[in-house]
Amino acid sequence: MPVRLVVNENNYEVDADPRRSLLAALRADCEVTSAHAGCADGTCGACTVLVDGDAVRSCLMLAVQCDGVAVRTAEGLTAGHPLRAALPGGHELCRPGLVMLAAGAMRHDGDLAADPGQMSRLLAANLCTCADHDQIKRSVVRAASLPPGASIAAIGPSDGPSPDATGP
Amino acid sequence: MKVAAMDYVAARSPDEVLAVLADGQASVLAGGQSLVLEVTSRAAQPRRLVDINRVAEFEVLDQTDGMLRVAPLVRHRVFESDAIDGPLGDLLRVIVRHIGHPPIRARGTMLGSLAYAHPAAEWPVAAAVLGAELDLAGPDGRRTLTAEQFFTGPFTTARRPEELLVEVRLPALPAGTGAGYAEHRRSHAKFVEGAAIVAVTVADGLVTGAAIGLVNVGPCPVRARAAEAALIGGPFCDAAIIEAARVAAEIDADNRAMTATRRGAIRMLTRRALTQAREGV
Repeated sequence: MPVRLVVNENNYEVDADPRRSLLAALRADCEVTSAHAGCADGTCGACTVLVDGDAVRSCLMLAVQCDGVAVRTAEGLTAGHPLRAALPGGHELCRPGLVMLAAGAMRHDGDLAADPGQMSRLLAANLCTCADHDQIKRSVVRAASLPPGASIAAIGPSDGPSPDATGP
Repeated sequence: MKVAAMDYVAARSPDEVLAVLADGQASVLAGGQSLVLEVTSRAAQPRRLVDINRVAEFEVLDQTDGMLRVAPLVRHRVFESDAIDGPLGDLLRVIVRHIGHPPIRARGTMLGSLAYAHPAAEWPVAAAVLGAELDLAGPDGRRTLTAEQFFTGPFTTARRPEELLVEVRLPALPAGTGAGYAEHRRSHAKFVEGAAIVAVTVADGLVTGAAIGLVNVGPCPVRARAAEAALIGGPFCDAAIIEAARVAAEIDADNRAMTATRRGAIRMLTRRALTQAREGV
């Protein structure tokens, strides 16, 4: 019997082999490219998605566990969600996971977005391998505090090094 | 790596879980934050997974008559909230913040951590410090073990393969109890190198009860009994804390790796945890 995954409000019937992780099923069968297989052992958080509203490591869940359960990925952040501003066109390995980590926590704690320190501590749960962790973290922290629908341009210049900066 | 073939059963009731476990070939999937990793890395190759996440009876957390009853699906995250009152709630809150990180705490469960018995895990030592009672349900009914009886080695417990850890009971700490937790880890993404979990009860200026547990110091959760005895009956003062920490560091728990560095860490962590506990008395 196949498993029905409800990903970003779309239904997908996926292979029910119990060996498949949720991450593998999302990427292979559900048109999701934002959740990444970074470490595949739960350390890095690049695969973070919302399952039933909670930010979880999709590499540490099995697809069969999610039969009929609502899954949300970075593609499925609604148009007005402030964290959309932290998702420019390209997806670095870690950024969608950081965004979904923040999105899950903001669902549980409405005041979180107004507390950059706490948000920054939360984002320490995910790793980044491209040395831009602080810059990406800052953009997520700043986007979280934006009014709905604002664009990243509305926040003004970053208070850290530009991601385009060449150096050192 | 390709995962070994296995069956999957999403149980709907406690009886169904026990029926699937009956042949001793199944692993229990609760939070899955260790089990799924073990399965995907082939460290574990269970014939069958029995998923208990849809068993509504297993979500119960009940605090009545001075006893906290924890069912198998109570996630770590629940202990972050102020759902549990008194000094017991204070101790559980201070511990849980150091377990994994929010996505792990949203899925992982206290009973899963106890059944997994990782030597660097916090909950097994908390169970030993708090005098937990652990209920195992199996084909022959239920039996109750203490933490000392339950933990038998690293990743090893007295649970038989056909049994389920079905409830853990934690007695409330008396009023006047201060709790403390101190740990040493190289980065927040690592397991702890060592930690101390303490609960000290003071009445009329004298220590009437003390429990000191050490994480990742031996193959099983360790209680520093001699250090506890050193505290009881005296005032909870700086000198008593320093002396108890010194005694704790003399513990003979894992003589294969008891270096001076490790003993120094135990002394420092015990002292910090006790100092924190005194502030909470």
